[in-house]
Amino acid sequence: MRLYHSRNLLAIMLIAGLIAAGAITPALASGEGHGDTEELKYEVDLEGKTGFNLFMAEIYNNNRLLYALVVTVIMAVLGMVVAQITEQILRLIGVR
Amino acid sequence: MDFFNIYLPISGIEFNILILVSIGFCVGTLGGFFGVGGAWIVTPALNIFGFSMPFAIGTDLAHIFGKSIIATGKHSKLGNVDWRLGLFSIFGSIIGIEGGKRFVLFLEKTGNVGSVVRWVYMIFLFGLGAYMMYEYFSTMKKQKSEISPGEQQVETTSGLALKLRLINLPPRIALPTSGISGISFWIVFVIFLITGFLSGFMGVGGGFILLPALIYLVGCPTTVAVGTSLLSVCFMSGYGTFTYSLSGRTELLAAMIMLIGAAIGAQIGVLATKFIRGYSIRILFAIMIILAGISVTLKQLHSASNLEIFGILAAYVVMGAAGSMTLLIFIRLVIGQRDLRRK
Repeated sequence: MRLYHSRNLLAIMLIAGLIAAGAITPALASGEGHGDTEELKYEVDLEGKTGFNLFMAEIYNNNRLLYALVVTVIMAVLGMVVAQITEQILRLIGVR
Repeated sequence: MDFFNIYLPISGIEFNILILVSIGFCVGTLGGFFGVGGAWIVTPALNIFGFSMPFAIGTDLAHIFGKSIIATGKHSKLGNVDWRLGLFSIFGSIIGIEGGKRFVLFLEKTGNVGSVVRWVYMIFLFGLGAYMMYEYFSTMKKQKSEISPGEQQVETTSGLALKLRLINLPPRIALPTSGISGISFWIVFVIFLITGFLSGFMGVGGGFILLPALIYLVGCPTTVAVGTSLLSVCFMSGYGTFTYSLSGRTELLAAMIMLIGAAIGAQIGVLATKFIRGYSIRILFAIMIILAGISVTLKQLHSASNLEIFGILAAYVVMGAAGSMTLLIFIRLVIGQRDLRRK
């Protein structure tokens, strides 16, 4: 394996980055070493909420790491889904 | 108009859906066209219309993440994304952003952060805007005297980028999508380290810093710089979405609604790049950031004088600039599509 081939260098750095991310995430979640930014001490009032609003509010109150993962994944997936839909719509109205 | 109000469960406020979709549409168009995230437009807009600043920043990052995925995907189909360069950018950028953030927190302890950051913004925005305008007009003048009438003006690589490529520090990497046969990895790393630091320091996704850096320092063609910048914004905003959500500062429902507007806008912005030459994108970008600089200047005057009018003007200047540029891009796309159909 030639170290100076850019594809190999990229692969090595990506693996190192993933290992580092895996090591750092638990610390971020527990708040250790994250003392510069305070976690917002805030609880959402669940009264009157139903469906999706209640689901998100409960996760927000009980498990902030899960809330962060859900938000990140939803925005990524929604971005891809909406991209496909708008592309089809633009194609239908003749925008090339 | 109250009919269009929606209750946002996390931040506990009511917000108008049409305003959210409109903000998303404008920023989506500008993002797809210039390769920027648009935090410098969305955050003050959300703040003016009722979000607290922490929620405005976190929600904005979440919507930028979704939007940049759309725009990056579209640019990739057009062959405008240098994936290799984008992936290499992550390492320098993350380290740089973390460094910029820590420097901001250090300034916060001294009580000077707001003023210092705004002064850096003004110097950067006006300086960069003025340089890009100067470079555009001097290159156009030079090319007009060299090319025959009817011949297309071509985009050239900046002299500085060519000089940086001559630095022979191993390992060297090839970036075929950008038309670069060899450049030292360390040059790329340092460029992204510095742009990352400025992003972390100024609290933005980095697109408006990265775009000129890719054009003038790395030497990417403008459309490849736009697409690759968006890829980097995608990574950075994904990271920002996660950490801000971890700190409880994102309103998911608002981000999802803005994304709907941004999705349409991003497609329009990306398509419009096909109908405008690379150099024209640069001059429009220069105008945009000069107007942003004027907005920051007004904000600084607001901070210094405590006169509310400056604060309001600052927000409306940046939103007016965003709206006008969006309209211009949309019109250009419509004209381009009409000419394409005629052919």
